[in-house]
Amino acid sequence: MSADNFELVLRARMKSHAAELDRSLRPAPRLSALLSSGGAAGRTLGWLSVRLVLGLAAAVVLAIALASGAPPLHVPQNAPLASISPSTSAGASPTQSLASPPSRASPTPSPSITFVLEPLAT
Amino acid sequence: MRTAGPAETVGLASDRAFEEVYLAAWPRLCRYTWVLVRHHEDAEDIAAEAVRRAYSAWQSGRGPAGDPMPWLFLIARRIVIDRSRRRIPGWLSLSGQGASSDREMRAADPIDGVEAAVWFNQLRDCMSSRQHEAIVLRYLFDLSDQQIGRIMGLSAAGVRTNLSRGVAALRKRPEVFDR
Repeated sequence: MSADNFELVLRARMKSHAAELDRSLRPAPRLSALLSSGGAAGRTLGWLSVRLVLGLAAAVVLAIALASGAPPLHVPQNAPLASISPSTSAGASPTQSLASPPSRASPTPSPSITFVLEPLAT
Repeated sequence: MRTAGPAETVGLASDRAFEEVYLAAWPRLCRYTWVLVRHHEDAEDIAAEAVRRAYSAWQSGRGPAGDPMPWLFLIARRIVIDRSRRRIPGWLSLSGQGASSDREMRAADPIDGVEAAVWFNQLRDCMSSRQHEAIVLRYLFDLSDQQIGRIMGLSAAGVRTNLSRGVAALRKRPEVFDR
C-alpha cells in the first residue's frame, strides 16, 4: 500500500469508526441547561474555597501559637546581670542559667537559655 | 409590551450564533475529549465544561478568529491538563501514566464494549499519546499542521514528526489497522 493510499484508508477507517461511536453518544443537551448546570466549575470553585479556608485557618492558628509562646527576643543592653540571671553558684565560670521563667501563656518551659559570663573571683 | 433594546438584540443574536456553533460542534467535541480521556462520562463532562468556558469567552468578545473547532479543542485540552495535574482520583492523565490503575478504579465505561472504541484503544496502544492525538486531529478532524500545533503546543514540524512516527508505528501493526 502506498503512503498516500495508506493515509486515505486510515482517514476513511477512522471516520467510519467515529461515526459508530457517535451513535453511542447522547444528543447535545440544551445550551441553556448546560450553561446553568455548571457542574465541574462549581465543584472546582467549591474545592478551591475549601482549600482557601483551610489555609487561612492554619495561618491564624500558627500566628496565635507564635504570639503566645514566643520567647523574649532580646535583653536590654544596660540591664544589670543580676537582675537578668541570679547566679546560684559563685566561682563557676562560665555559668549556665535560665534567663527567664517560662512564659505564663505557654504550658511548656521556655527554651531560651542564656550564657552569662561572670567575673572570676580572685 | 416591552421590546428588546439594541444591546439586548445584539446579545440575543450573539447567543443564537453561539448556540449554532455549539450544536454543530458538540459531537466532534465529545469525540475529541473521549480520545483524550477514553471515558464516555468524563468526556461529556469535559465537553460541557469547555462549552461553558467558551460561552463565557464568547460573551466577553474573546471568541474564535476563524474556525471554532480548534478553539474549542484547545479549551477542552486545557481542562484535561488541569484535571490531570490536580490528580483527581479516577482520572486518566493525558500522558497515559497510571492509566491502568485509574481505569481499574473507575466504573466500567459502556462505550468500551463498542467495537469502534476497541479499535481506537488499540490504535492508541501501539503509539505514544502525542502521536495518537496528532493522528486523530489530522485524519479524523482534518485539521492543518498549524491548527494541530496550536492545540497541542507544538511547532508545525513537531506535528509532522508525530504524524509520521504514528503512521510508521501503525504500519508495523497491520492487525490493528485492518480491523
